[in-house]
Amino acid sequence: MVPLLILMLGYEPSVATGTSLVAIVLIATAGTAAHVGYDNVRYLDGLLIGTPAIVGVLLGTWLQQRISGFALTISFCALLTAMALWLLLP
Amino acid sequence: MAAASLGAVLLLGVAAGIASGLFGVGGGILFVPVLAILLGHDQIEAEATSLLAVVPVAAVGAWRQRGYGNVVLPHGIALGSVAIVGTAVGVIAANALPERALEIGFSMLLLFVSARLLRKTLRDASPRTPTGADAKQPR
Repeated sequence: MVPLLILMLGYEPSVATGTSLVAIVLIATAGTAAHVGYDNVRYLDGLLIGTPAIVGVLLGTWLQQRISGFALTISFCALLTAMALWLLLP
Repeated sequence: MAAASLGAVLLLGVAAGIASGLFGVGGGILFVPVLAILLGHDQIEAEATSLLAVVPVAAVGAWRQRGYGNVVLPHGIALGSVAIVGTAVGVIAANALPERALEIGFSMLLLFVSARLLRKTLRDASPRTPTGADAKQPR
């Protein structure tokens, strides 16, 4: 979502990330509902990981206001690449 | 669950939230491996549970970002609504495809997007793209 907004709509990185979060609320709600239908959701574990993440998101949005768009995008690219390589490990 | 595992889950949960706030991702990029590796979910359970956790995290992040003036609300709502159709297709595909195919496919997508974004960012950061001719005849 963030790359789409930056690459195709020319958004500033911070506005791309904020707008992306709005879209993600809708997408994740629909995705959760669909997975509930397949009985794939483990609710207690969702609570266990989601609660500390709410603390984290407050920290992350605060921190983002204090770094440049360039630094933000470069570290985002690093995160994407690291995740891809991790997933590719057998 | 062992105390060490619980501590790791909580710490990585905070880290996922920071990534969410910083990068505008749901946090699933960390939730999924944590759920799979530390809590023993299979890939589909991890993805489904991650989506559940993403909802409140992204909502709090969007609320904060709106306060900072970083949200174009109509675009976010339009994008999210359109993408829901894609999510429905994705959930069906996730249930139909082998797990290894999902992992490899997603990795390729991440690498492609990362390369495109890096190229644009570096290009925007430099006043113009140097060429071979510039190197031979610097102004």
